[in-house]
Amino acid sequence: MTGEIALDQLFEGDQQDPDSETGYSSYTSAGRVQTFWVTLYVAYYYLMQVIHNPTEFPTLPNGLIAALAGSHALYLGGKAQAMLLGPLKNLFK
Amino acid sequence: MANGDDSKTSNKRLYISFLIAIVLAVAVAFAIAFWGPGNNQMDKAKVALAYGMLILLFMFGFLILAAIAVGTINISNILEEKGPGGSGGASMSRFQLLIFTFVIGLSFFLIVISKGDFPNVTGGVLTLLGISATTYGVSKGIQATSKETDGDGNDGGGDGNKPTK
Repeated sequence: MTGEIALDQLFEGDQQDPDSETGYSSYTSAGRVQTFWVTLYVAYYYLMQVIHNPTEFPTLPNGLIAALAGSHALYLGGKAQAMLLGPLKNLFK
Repeated sequence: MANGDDSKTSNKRLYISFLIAIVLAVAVAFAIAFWGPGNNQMDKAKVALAYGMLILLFMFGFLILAAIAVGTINISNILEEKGPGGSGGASMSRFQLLIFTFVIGLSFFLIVISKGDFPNVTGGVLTLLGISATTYGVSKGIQATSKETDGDGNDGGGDGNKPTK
C-alpha cells in the first residue's frame, strides 16, 4: 500500500492568462479554500450526528444545507469565471 | 518493458482471483441448494441465490480492496484532474465528492450495525449527495467547456495555438 493520494494544488485553480504560453495560469483560489472548510465542517457535523444517534440518518438543518449549496455555488461560479472569462481585473481593462 | 510484463501478470492474477470468487460463490450456492434450509425447492433456490450473491459481492469487494492495498489498482491520482493549462493538481470537486461518499457510506454502515436493519434513506441524504455530485458534474462541464473554447482558439486567450488536452 503506497498510503498516498496526491492532494497537491488542491487550493489552486486555473485562470485565463493571455500572457502565459498555454493561455492559462495557476492561482490560489479563495473559493476552493472556503469550499474545503465548509465541506469538512458539514461532513464532521453529519458524522457526529450519526455517532450520537446511530439508528437513523440525521436531518441536517436547512441553514447548513443552504450554506453547503451556497459554498459550492460560489466555488463553481469562481471557477467558471476564472476559466471562461479570466480574472475580474482583466474584464474591466 | 518489465513494467508492462508486471502489469500483465498482475492483471492476470486479478482475473484469476475474480474467476475463483465466482466459482466459490456458485459452489456455495449449489451446496446451500442441496443441504441448506427451506421446506420446498423454491425456498431453497431463493436462499441459495441470496447466499451466492452475498459471497460474490463480498469476494469482489475484498479482491478490489486487496488489489488497491498491494498496488495492482493504483488510486494515488484519484483526485487528479488535468487543467487546460497542463497542470494536473488535485480537484476540489473530486475531493468533496469523495468525502461525502465516505461520510454517507460510513453512516450507512454504522446505522446497519447498530439497528440491524436496512435504514430509510431520507431526503437529507439524497440532498447531500445531490449537491455533492451536481458540483462535481458542473465542475467537469466547466472544464470541458473551457477546453472546447481553448481548442477553437477563439476564446481561450493567448495566441490561439495552445495545445488541447
